[in-house]
Amino acid sequence: MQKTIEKIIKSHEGEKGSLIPILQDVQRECGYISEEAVAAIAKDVKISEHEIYGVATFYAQFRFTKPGDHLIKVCVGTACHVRGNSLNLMHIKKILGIDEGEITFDYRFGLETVNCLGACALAPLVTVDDEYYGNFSPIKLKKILSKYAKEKAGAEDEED
Amino acid sequence: MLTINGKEVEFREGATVLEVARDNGIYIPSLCAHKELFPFGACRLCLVKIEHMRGFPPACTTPAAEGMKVITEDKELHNLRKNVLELILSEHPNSCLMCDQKELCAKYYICPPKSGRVTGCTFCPARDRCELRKVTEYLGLKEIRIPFKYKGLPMEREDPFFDRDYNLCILCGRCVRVCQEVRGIGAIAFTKRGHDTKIGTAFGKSYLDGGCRFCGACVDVCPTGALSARGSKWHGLPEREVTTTCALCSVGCRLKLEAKWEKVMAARPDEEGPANHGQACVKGRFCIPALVNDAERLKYPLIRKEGRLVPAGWEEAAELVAKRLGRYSPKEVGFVASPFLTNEAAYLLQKFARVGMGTNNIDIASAFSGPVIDAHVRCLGVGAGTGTIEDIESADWIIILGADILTSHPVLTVSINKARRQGATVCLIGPENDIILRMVDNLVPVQPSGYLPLLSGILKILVDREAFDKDFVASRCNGFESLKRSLHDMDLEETIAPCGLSVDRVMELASQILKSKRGCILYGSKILESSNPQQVIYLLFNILLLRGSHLGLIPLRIAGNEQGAGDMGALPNFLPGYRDVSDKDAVSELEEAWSAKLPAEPGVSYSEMIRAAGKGALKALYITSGSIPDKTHLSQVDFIVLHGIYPSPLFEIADVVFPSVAFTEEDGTITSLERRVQRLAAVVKPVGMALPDWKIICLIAEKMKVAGFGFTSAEEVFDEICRVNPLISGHGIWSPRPLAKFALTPVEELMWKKSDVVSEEMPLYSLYYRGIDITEKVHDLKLFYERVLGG
Repeated sequence: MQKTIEKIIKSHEGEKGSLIPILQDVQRECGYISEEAVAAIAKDVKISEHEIYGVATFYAQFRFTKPGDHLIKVCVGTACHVRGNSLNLMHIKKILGIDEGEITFDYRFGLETVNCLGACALAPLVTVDDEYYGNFSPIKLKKILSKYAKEKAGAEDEED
Repeated sequence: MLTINGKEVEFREGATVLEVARDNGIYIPSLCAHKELFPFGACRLCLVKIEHMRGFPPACTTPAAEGMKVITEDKELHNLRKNVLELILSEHPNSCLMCDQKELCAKYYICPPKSGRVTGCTFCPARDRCELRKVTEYLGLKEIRIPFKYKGLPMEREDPFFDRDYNLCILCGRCVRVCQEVRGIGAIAFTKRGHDTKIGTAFGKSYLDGGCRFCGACVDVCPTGALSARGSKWHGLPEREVTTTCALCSVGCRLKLEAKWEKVMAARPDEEGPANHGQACVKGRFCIPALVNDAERLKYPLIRKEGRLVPAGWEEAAELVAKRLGRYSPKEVGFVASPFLTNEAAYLLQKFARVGMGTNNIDIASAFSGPVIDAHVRCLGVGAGTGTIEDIESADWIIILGADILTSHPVLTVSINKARRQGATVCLIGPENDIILRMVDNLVPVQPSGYLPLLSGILKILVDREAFDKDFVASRCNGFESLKRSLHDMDLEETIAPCGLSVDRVMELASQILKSKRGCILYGSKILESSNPQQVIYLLFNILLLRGSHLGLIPLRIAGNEQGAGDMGALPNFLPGYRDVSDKDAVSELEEAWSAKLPAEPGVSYSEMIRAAGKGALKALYITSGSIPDKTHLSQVDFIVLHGIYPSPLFEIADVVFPSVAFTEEDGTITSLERRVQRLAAVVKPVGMALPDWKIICLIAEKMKVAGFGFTSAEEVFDEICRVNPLISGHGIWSPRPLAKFALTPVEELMWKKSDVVSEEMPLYSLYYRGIDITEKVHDLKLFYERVLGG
């Protein structure tokens, strides 16, 4: 990751007002703004890391913790709500053992709620990454999770 | 000319409406504006009406303009401000401001809460200085219609020196701005936004980890009790406040010391201070009370009886010293002057050595004395620099050579930042750290061993390109031809090779010196680690003289009065005013003034004294320093007198110990690194039976029946100094009488010769005061220094 950050900083060398573009690039490449990234940027742009953190936390677009491999979004819009998605959300929280905005300890899943995904016909709706799972119920959860968990394990096997 | 409330007032270009109003005695309430800081416009209390301007512009961010018609006070503005203040107070515990029984409160609840948490009554560390209270009283706000919301943030007390309670914070941003703009550190910032906004550090790091230097500037500008110095937060208002000069380092900061119950309880920087302009550093701001109120302070004289030091009266101790000192011949006695002595004490000590004991064996226990002072005197005529702190601020090019200035002289970084804001280029040669990197434009990573090659390279470039002040050199300098000859055969590339820089890089540096109209060189104690520190100074002076009047040189001395002790002649080879001991005129002048005979032979230096003591050649030592690191040499010495304010390792070998006073307890003067003579004022009475150093010396001289020591006050001593010392004529910056001819030094001979004066024996004083390690007395400082100095 250190190398990626260095590369990003280098690509902005000499630019004026480059702090936010650098932060955006770092987030795109690394998924989040890490302490190391802030320290490296601070050294380069000669702004203290605290000021950089201050700037970054002002904007909602930046995150400071490592995201999960897969992001689970639970719709809590009106249609999904009346079709019982809040119960689904409760169930997912229990199974994963995390709250909204958190990630599982193995960095596999992150959980977020959204207000409407524009597919109310599929309510109650849960998405994992870009996959839509309509008419969601707790029974489906285990299957879906094991699918992604397997995927991950498979990918790791290939790497080995 | 503009009109405020119908009154026509003058203004200077660039001033804001708020500043113009304040200059003319018109009060506009405000909480975020501060005269050291750029306008910010956060608190919205200074809203005014200006004709032909829409809405209510804030006075602090609106620049004054010709013909402006400003109204600062009417019913509408008053209500508007009240509303704004209500909003501010809705998130700040406010019963201390709103309660109608607030006057009685202090009477019935007198103990401070142990938790240190302020929830809304009078237990606020800022209650006596709260700016919010002043504004509330001015606006006459009696109640708040908005429900109060307590933020419920935890107290932050993990870091040394000060507490942070952000429940009291009104987000005026003064602390953030002073840290960034004035100090150049940027250890804190606004984090998050909206309701969640909080002053904090990146990722919630502790201040220790986040690079805070604990200068206390944020605490000083905080208008509320959110930031408070832990050591003094519950003391309330002081009984009295005395402005004096800080003696812990050589910058010469003026501090307002607050005293209560005959104890120093807090120190705040004085805004009028010519060197510090309302800034201080961790030592001056937070460490003084703990240091001077220490329980171990010496309270009575001690004399050695049957191998043990036992308490004694002044008479007995002084008589013993007088009797014993009388037995030795001049050559057998040595005097060690502490670099923390006042000018008066240093002057009397050398007078006593010369007149009373007939010896020139006196030297300052300082790494900067000896060859370093000799080099200065040879080039300039005095053992001092040529620059002042004002020169730093107005410089367009600054070199910092071999100094960790952020740790040793933190307040000078304020001036460097100021210069930098005005467009100066700052170049750092030598030690680095992450924070100082943000303050410099040009980092030259050269080790002390590379200083000589680097500077000779620069010198050669200057001379080869003929880029020097020719008139000045021709009319005022000696030895240019031999300097030129010595540089002629020098190969640039070969010379600079040991410093590890490319020729281009050195060229770039030299050309920056060339371009600069008003340069400033600061050199620090790291030059003592180079192979020949004296030569480094010769080279610096060569560069300085070649650039004529365009450069100022400031030696970054460490201890509080190193400069003054030298000026006073506490040196083996110089009389007061840096006149050589062999200078017949000076000697006869002084002999007349002192009506005594002066010794003709130069004395031995501090390190020679210690060496002689090891060989048994020195029989008696009069030590005022207490910072002699290697006491094994001293076991041979027959008789040792010590001035001290704390117990020190020298107690094992001292025969008589006199309790002296800390700088907060004595009157006198000290001289800062910019040659500024400033007053010390006694804030409290001395501890126990302790006496100021100058009085102790007078007492002994009296017992020895030496004439000329009948002083009753420090002022009388200073008067004599002004009469006798040609440099000093009063308080303020003294300037050396310019030499008819300055000496340029050829490079060849001294060049690579390793000097034998390298100072392993010399303590560096940035952590010391009168022989004790400050960090031993102030635990928080230890925490901090362990972090910044890495162990």
